Amino acid sequence: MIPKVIKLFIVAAVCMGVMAPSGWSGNKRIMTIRAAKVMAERAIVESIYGLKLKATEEVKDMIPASFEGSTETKTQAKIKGISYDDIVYDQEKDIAKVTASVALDTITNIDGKVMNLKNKVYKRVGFATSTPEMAGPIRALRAAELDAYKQLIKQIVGFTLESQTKVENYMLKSDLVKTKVLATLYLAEVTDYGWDKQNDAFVKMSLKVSEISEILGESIVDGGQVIEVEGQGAQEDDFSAVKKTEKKQ
Amino acid sequence: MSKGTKNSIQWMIFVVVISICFSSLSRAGNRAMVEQNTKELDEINKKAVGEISDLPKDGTVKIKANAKYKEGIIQFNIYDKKVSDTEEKEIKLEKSSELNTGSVKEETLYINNSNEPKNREKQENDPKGN
Repeated sequence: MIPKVIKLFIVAAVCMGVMAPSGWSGNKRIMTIRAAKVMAERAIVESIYGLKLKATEEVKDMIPASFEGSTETKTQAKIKGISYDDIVYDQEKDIAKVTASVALDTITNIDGKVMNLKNKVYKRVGFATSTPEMAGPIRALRAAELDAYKQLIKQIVGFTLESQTKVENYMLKSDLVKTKVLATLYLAEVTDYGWDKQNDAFVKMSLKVSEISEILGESIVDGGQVIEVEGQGAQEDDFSAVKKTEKKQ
Repeated sequence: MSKGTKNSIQWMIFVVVISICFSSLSRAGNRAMVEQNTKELDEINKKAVGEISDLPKDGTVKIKANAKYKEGIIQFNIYDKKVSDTEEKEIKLEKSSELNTGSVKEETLYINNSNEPKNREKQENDPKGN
């Protein structure tokens, strides 16, 4: 038979175990929501003020294991009047979602051009977590976002291609292919985002060329066009594992 | 082989097949994205190199180009192009005379004759004047 004192101790321990997570969530919840607000603010700045993006891709002998790719973005601006419309916190996963919106009359963008926004409301969503184990889906979403920005720039501004190709009997055998992207982008809008069945993230972005032309007060070639892209981002780095295995072999 | 052993082997094969099918279906990660990107880069390069009119039969082509999409179609402005062709030529040396270094018999040398880039390089439309 278990003594009464031990029984009471077990009951108390179980109660503490059940009650504790909800008791701790106070600070964590606030911190996670605050972080999501910052993410949403950054997204708003990237959308309206714009961002500078630098990306490179390189592949040797058409072998995926030789692929090297990197994307960097930079932005810095002061925007007043951002409001947070929708704040959702998932206590179980410790993930917060915040929708930020702003309406501005005019703004000087990253290229120093004054844009007449006519108080149009711009909305962007930000996700964050304080638990590193839960950061996978959020990281994948950010990767998808950067991929979408890069694709938009490739479509609008273009990119530089450098290659050294071997030709044998008039047949092309790619040896080294490099692409470079360096440009600024603004007024990109997120039309959809989410995660697929494999937990890979996607972000759909669009850019209305005619609207930008009107906002900037400049005529842009290929006006009237709507450019739509879909960026992808993965949670798991299964590529590095394959790369390591192939290097060992 | 007993009926029980046969059944258990069949079950094992079934489980292995199912798990392989599911693992390939639920494969997530950046590997597929990288593979797709590699394929795209190769296609873009093939298209750009394909626009060069004087492709050698065997050789190396170095290009630098600005690529831009127009109405969904990629267009290249090749501003730097270097083409060097490599041909295998048979050179016959017929020397039977005695030299100070010793006698040289009839030989067949196969020389991989790669032309000097300075003579053969072709640079067109270089906006930078390189």
